[in-house]
Amino acid sequence: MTAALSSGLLAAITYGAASGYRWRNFREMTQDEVRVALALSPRTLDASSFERLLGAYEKRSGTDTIAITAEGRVYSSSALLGAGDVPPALLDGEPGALKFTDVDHDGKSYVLVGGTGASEVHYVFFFSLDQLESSLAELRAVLLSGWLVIVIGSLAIGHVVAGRTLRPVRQAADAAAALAGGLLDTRLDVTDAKDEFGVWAESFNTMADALEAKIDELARAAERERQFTSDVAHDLRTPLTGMAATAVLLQDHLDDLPEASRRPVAVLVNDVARLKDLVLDLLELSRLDAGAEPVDAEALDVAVAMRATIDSLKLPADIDVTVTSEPGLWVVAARGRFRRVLGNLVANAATHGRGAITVSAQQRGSEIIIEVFDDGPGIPDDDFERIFDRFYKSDESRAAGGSGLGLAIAREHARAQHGDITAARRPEGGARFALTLPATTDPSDPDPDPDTL
Amino acid sequence: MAQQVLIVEDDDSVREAATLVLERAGFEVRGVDDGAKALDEFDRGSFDLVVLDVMLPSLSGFDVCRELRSRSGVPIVMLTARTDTADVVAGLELGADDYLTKPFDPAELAARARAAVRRVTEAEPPRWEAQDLDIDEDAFRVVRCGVELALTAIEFRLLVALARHAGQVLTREVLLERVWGYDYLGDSRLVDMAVRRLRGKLGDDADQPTYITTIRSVGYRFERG
Repeated sequence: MTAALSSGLLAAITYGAASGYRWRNFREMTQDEVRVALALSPRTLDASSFERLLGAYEKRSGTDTIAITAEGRVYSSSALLGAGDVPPALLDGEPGALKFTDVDHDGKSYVLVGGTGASEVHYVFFFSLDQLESSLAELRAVLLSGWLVIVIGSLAIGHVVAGRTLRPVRQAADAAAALAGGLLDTRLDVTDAKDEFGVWAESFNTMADALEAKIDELARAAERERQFTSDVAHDLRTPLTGMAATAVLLQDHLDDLPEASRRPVAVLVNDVARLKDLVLDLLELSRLDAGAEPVDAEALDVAVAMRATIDSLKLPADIDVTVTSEPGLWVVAARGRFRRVLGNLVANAATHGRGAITVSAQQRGSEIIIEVFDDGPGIPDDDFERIFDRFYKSDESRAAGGSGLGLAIAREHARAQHGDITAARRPEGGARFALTLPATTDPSDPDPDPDTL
Repeated sequence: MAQQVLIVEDDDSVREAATLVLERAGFEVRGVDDGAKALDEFDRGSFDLVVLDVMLPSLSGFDVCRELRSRSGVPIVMLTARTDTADVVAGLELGADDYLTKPFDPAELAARARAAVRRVTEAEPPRWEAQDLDIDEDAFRVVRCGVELALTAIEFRLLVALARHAGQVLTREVLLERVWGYDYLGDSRLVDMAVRRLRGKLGDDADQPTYITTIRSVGYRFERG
């Protein structure tokens, strides 16, 4: 655009200057010619002399001439021109002074120069502008096409140059986006380290190096931490085994102990049990995080599995569990994990409820939904998602003991079996936990329901 | 006479605790702290049950298990530190009958031990035939064409459970309960592994079985023949 404007301006100025020059030149030329002609004009002329004179003028400078004598006789070098073609203004004026005017006659342009020659004869010279105009037109054409060439040329060059300049910028933008997206090994090629883009590219690469290294470091630190937790929990197993088993045995002997020892021993036994639960939970969670365990899913009879789970919890006699289930429900789950998940939910209900628990199972579409209801105070602050966070313990849970990992573990197991657990509040008060798992049919059924396959 | 248990465990406190638990459960307990001593003790005594830790110094628990199996069909309960497939399956393949993970519940240990040594008591005659097998439940013996098959106690019980219901499919849950004493949600790998070992000893091909057929996702069936 700059090129277009500046060359356009240049062309215009050039043209203006050139044409101005040509015009002045022309006028001067015509002036000189006329003055000469007038100076040399004969004093006495008769008609044929005039004709010869005008003819000579015509021949010499290609101009038509009209002469008007003091008496008013008109002589013209051309049959086409007559006194009527002479503007009156041209005839006034003092001797020696020249008058100029422009005229169009028959489509052609002329400059008329009028002056007084000897014997008071007015001469009017018709200078044709044809040649001037055609050469000016030629100049115009040349300048215009030159201008167009420049414009097109500069557009093309500009496009290429801009492309070349923009391409690295685009590359840089792409590289930055790739880096942000996680491709930490993205780097720019530095072809010329000294130009502006080269410098930019090098600092980009340095930044990417630093970023990649930092993220590697952080990932390794996180892995080390995970490994450490896992190793610690693992190493705690053996000392805990002896301790936990002995503690249980000791508990059975409480009555054999002297009065003063009973309370401390009871507290100790309780603490050991809690420690064992915490370590087991940590071990389980670290196994889940590592994704090390395959999910051994099978088709399980829902009603039987629910009953087996609840029986294995050995809940105290004052907890009343009502189990209901639609008939013929089968679920895809891993035995141990199923027990772990449902066991956790029912144990929670026993801890937080007031003694009445309901466990019910139903099928909805391709899912089995097992709900556990308790009649306790429900989930505090309606924190239906936060309770699944690791180590989250509501104030109540703190008092009841437990590692705070139970629900987190339960959810991980549920999800590993393509299910999930959600929590809600019962309208009549208390908590509702819903475990969903994929449904299937009785594997020994020769006529399975196609919807649940 | 009380049943004899050999405990092989290198950690003193675990060994002591396990000893206490099993003594409470009515067993007579002998404890050793490494594999070589265990094999020695086993040869010198006569044990009804071996409780064996997988992780031992010098001879590994798996090697001890393999050695014991080459000598006897005595019930073996493993103590594992992990429930992940590798350890458990390896042990079961070598012939262990059951496993417990550490830290274990004393009551669980007692229950597993009792289940492992339990004799099969059925009202029907103790000696009977299934296909070409002569089964003597009192003596815990199976004889085929005059040759006694070396089955472990668990394998024997499994064979009896299946053969007594020849022609019927028994689910894994039922087998878990009858043979091991587990509830519905016990580890079904125990059943699968034991069937595999039993087939091996019967010379049965899983794809073209003579004795035991697998009914996918359901259970196993002993053929009438």
